[in-house]
Amino acid sequence: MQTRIKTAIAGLTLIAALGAAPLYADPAAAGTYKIDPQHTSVHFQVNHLGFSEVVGRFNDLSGKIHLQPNGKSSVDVEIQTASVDTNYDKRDDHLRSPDFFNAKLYPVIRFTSEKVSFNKNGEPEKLTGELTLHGKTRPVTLSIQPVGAGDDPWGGYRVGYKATGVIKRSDYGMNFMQGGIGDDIAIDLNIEAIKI
Amino acid sequence: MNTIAQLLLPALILPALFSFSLLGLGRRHPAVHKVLILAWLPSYLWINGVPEFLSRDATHWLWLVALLAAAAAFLQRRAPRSAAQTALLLAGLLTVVWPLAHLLTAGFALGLGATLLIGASLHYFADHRSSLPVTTTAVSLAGLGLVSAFGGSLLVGQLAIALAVLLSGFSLVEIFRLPLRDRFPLELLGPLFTLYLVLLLIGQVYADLPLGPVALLLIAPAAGVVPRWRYGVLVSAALAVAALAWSLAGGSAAS
Repeated sequence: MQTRIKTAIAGLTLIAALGAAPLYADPAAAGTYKIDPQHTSVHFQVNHLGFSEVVGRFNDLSGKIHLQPNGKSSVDVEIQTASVDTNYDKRDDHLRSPDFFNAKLYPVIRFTSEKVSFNKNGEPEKLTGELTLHGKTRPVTLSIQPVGAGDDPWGGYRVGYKATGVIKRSDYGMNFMQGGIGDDIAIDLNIEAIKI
Repeated sequence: MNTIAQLLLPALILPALFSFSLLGLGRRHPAVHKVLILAWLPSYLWINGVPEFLSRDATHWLWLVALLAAAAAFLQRRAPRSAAQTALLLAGLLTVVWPLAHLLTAGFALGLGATLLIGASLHYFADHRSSLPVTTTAVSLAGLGLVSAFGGSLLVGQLAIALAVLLSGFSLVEIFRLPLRDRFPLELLGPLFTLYLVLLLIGQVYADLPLGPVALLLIAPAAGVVPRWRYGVLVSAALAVAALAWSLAGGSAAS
């Protein structure tokens, strides 16, 4: 009896998973996508005094992706600097100050790219673009890993990617407390976008 | 470099070395005292990094404010009564105000008006011999430094504390009433107030220092330059401590 119940639960779980899963096998359809901010996150990680890595995120972002596999694709993302969140209000205030992001003077962080390279399956694998942060624009390359693409339960079409990269804050003139606060910033993005 | 050393060297050790070196040099060549503000620049460059050319960031213009303030201190000897000095100091203030102009709000405009008014008063009274004007200025700067460091921006905090420490040698001379030749040239007070007001302005606008403590810090140095009032320095110290307590009551910053 117990074995049957377990088998039934496993079967239902598998059916549910298959039903909810997007079409992983297919590359994303060409078109323009709007980033879904509720299912997108931008995390960063920086060394603190050599003891640990502090993880933060930005909570307010928007943007568009234009996908044209093996054609001209582009990405344009805007992040509101003041939405920085490291799970500690006072530290967030300090990060917004002129010591770091100077959020009042530079309220927006922007990433634009018109150079997306695709693998042989037609999936994006590398994104080369320009990141404007703290008033400075520098080239940045992000590695892309497709997560899923397909119809969503609400009749739309979605794509999802993970993107990772590393920047140096000193390249952007954020030099305060070098040595204490790490120069290398690891960036980790989870992006979900809806076709428009 | 060790983090503690990185905080202390430019804000405490280096300006203290400059302060006492200039004090010693000034015994033979009193004019040397007038370069005191320039001695703040190494600390500024260490803390802020090399400033960017035509930056939109007000902190990157502080070197120019310091140069104008230093020039103002030299000019007064030759120019008619402080007109040229006032012009230079106003130019210094405007140097920092223009990058902040896009943040202009009614509150900011009022604050700027108050700053100019108090700055002008300080500038006027600085010419009168009061009891402990250097110590009062140093205490106010230290108050601003601590409020900024704990409540908004360590960068602004370090810059203010470096300027306070630069005055420490002259403050000791003043407190212990050492011979007049070691005394601080009073024509430097106006330029120092300008730097003080500029740092206060940047701290409030960029780092959102709370308005209450900022208001207390704005009037803190004024108490010390009231002519022949012995207790001015105590009032300034009390205002600076109150500003710090008020700021800390709202929580302190940490990164």
